Amino acid sequence: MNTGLIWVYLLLLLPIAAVLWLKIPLTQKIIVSTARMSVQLLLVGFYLQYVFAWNNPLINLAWLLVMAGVANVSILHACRLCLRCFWKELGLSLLVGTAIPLVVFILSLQQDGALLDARSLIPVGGMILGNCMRANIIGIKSFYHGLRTDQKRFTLELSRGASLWEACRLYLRSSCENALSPTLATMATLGLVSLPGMMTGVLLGGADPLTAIGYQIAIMLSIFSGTTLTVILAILLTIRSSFTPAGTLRADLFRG
Amino acid sequence: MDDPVSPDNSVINVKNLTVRFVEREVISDFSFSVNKGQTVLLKGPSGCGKSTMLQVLLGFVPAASGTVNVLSHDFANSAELWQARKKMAYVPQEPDLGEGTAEEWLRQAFEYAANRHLSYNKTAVDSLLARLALSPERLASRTVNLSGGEKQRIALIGALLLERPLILLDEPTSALDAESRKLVYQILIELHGKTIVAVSHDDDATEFLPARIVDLTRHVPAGAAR
Repeated sequence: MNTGLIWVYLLLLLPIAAVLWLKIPLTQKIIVSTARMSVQLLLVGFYLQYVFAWNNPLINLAWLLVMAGVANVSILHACRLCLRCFWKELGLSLLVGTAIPLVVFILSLQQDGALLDARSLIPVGGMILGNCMRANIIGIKSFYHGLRTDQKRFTLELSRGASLWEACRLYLRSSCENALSPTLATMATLGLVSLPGMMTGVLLGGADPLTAIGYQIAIMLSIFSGTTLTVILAILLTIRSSFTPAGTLRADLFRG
Repeated sequence: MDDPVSPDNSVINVKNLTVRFVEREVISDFSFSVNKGQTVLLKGPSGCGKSTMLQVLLGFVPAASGTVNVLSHDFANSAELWQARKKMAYVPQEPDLGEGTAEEWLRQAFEYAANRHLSYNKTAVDSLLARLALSPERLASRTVNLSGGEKQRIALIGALLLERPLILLDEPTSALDAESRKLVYQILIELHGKTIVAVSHDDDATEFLPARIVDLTRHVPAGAAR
């Protein structure tokens, strides 16, 4: 590993000094988060060396499934929703929402087009999945907690003749807007404010800027398609089991 | 006014209803019926379950025991409950009209499949606005900028536009002054053929609205009412 990383770790002294000086209670969090990130990435790097060396399609797929499983639990945990009630529907939406853009990305941009190759499947799948996770946390949380807060409005609409789907659609619109706005804002300012991760990676790998831009456009469109699909699918698939037969939101969906 | 209730003509038929919230009993062994065209005022002390009773009639609060039948739909069957709901209009005490304008909220109901046979009647809206002493300009106001009393009156207009045979009102005049309350009662009095079940704390309601009084006090479990 590059010993120059030590200097990068020393950079942390600046924010730590700033929060100590301003008496912001974040020092412990900064240290714990940095330690967690470092250990997690070291372990992943260690495992990935083997996964890349074996390059076995089944192992590669299993890796992606584990990532989807972790994303599934993290989303429900962050949304403070019942894991048992939602994991199947959310898992399915994450798999479908990640798989479609991932397959299109690999088959159209990778020259060898090897769909299950570890070097494309795992990092690109991870990028799409990571963004889907962030969007789902915003979308699902805003949908279910919005419904919970707005019970009076929701039941008033049902009493005015709305079907369950028609009443939910009012919340689906705003939840999708909330979930997709960050990705859309990133897309709109990409290249102006920052050079994004994949493009930087491809440039550091020695490719020319136009090739790097091609990859970046492809990954952004894949991420946007993936996040849109997963958020909409996750909400649509979970609606069915989230209400009582009379149309009220089940109280046991929420943790705390 | 205490009209006799005929079982053949009943719009609401509640028998031996008990409602529980978690471990707490809110309504205990309550029975009542309402005939087509009757106006009924549910009375009783705070916390005796008057608003809960309306929620039961709307199907949002289930019966722990007993039977609920509204407009010949037995609530034991959830599909029947949804059918019954399409024949009721409801005005809550503090209507949440969303985030758009008052007119958008009124029009929204006509986009629902259950109301496709109806259309937004601007003439009726203008007439109701005038009768309820609301300026037509209020329709263009965002609902978050309306006062509690204005929201109640807009919600009442929304309920009346749907032309449903059964109207449930939960303290529909609680945020209105005496003059506006009388305007609301006058409109309700003129609704011939409609069945109305209202919850009200106002003495005005008993005075100005010819209605059969149903008292829930006897059906409140000890300690439930405040």
